[in-house]
Amino acid sequence: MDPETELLRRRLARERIARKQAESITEEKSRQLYIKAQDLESAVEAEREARNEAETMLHALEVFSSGLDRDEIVAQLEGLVRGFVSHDGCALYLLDGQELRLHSACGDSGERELVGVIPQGALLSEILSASGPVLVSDALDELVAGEWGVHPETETWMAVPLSVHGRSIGCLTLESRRRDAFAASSARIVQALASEAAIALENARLFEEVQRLSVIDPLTGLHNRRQFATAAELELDRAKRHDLPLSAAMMDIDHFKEVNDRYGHAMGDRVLVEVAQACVRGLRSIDLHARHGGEEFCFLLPQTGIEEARGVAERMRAEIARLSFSSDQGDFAVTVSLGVAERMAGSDSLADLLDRSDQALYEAKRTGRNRVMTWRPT
Amino acid sequence: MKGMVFTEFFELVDDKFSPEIAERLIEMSDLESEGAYTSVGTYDAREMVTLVSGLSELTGVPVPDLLVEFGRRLFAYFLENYPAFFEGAESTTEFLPRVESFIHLEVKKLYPDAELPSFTCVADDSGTMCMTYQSMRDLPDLAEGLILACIDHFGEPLVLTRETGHGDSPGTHFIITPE
Repeated sequence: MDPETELLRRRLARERIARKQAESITEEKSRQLYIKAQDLESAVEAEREARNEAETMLHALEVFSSGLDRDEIVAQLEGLVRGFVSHDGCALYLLDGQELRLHSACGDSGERELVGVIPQGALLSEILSASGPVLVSDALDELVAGEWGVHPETETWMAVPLSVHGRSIGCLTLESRRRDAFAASSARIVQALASEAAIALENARLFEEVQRLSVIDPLTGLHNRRQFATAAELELDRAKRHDLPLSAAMMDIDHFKEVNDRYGHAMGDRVLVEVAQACVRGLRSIDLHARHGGEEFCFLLPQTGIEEARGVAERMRAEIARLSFSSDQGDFAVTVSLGVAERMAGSDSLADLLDRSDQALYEAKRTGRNRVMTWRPT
Repeated sequence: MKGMVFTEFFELVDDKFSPEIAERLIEMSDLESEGAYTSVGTYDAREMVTLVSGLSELTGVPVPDLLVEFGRRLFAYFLENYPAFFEGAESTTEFLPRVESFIHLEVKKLYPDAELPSFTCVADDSGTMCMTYQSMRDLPDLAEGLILACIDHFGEPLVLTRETGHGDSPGTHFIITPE
């Protein structure tokens, strides 16, 4: 072989070696990049999940902290859980004294007979005292199915305790037809949502309690029905003892439903407030007044006979008719109808007295509204 | 040392001398790599030392001169293959500080194990710049070639002088002054 060819041959051989090296280096680099990309993808996915969770929790906090209606809170909880963990059914149980009662259910609940009151037992105690979700899976226990009435095809069942200040107030259960349906991360999220909901539910319950115990109607500032009844009984008793006259009046705002429909509920509320204020202006300090219902008011006028009572009622009617309300749809006025009745000697009860006032009110409505009618025996 | 240095070296040998010289150089050098280099590979830096001194023996050109020439060639290589590094630089004194602050930073990102020389630049108002070169390989002649090629590239009337540092200021100081 001549020197030139030999030279080329050697060069070619070296280049072949160099090329093979380059290929294997490139392959290795590719492999490393691929692994890195995989890792990054997993990391991004994990971050995404974490952010989702955080956003859900934030949203849940907003939702739960703004509501005081128990049913609304439960509906919100169920909605949030549904958006996060796929399941075939869920149910909410609340403790009523010692009993765990079914409050509401969603999902396939129609096809199953959920038990209304969960019997006392080991599982119940375990759930109520648990600090986290209780998971039951692999061929659902006959006991659970029987005690709780879950769907027969359920494979995984989870009970998430709801507790406030360490005190159990109930639990949320989730069912799934799939095995091992609830991952640890799902259970954690549901627990977090349930905990927030528990606080909101407890607040709602306390609020309801406070409402019930209060004596004032929050909107109008008048006494509420309960307080009225208590005070009225006392007045009636006093009137009987000292043989004093006593009259009652029932008042109803005419066409109130139309006011609400036409001008909105906010305006409706304003009307109630101003009507209430107008009434109070026309009454004496010894008179009792209360909001009896939606647009109904009741009054008890001690030491007042029927004629004087009629005068008081008439004054209120006139005062209210003079009120003017302005809205986007223009100015408007309202009128009221009143029924007045006097205590009858003998064993007249408060209920009877109020009933007669109510009959007179009905008469006022029937004969054209915007008037006062006194009770007459028919 | 990165394979790119070796592949460029052999391009230089082919161009300035001949493929036959390159062949003889490889034969006489007894290299572990057997003279097969890919630019993306990494090889023992001592092979480069062997090759340069071997080339000097074969051609009679002194080692420093070979290195200066190689430095010039490397500058041309960088200019052709990494134009991004030169973007926005309008003069030698603008470009040289970038070598350390930007270029070597980028190189380290890709090759964290790379052993790169360090170039520290100090400039004064009169347009004079002092670039201090320090390296484990200690090849100031190579650095000189790079800097000369840089001055030529920007077409500036600059003069390069060089001082060996001692004691407190080790390395080699390259002083670039306007003519």
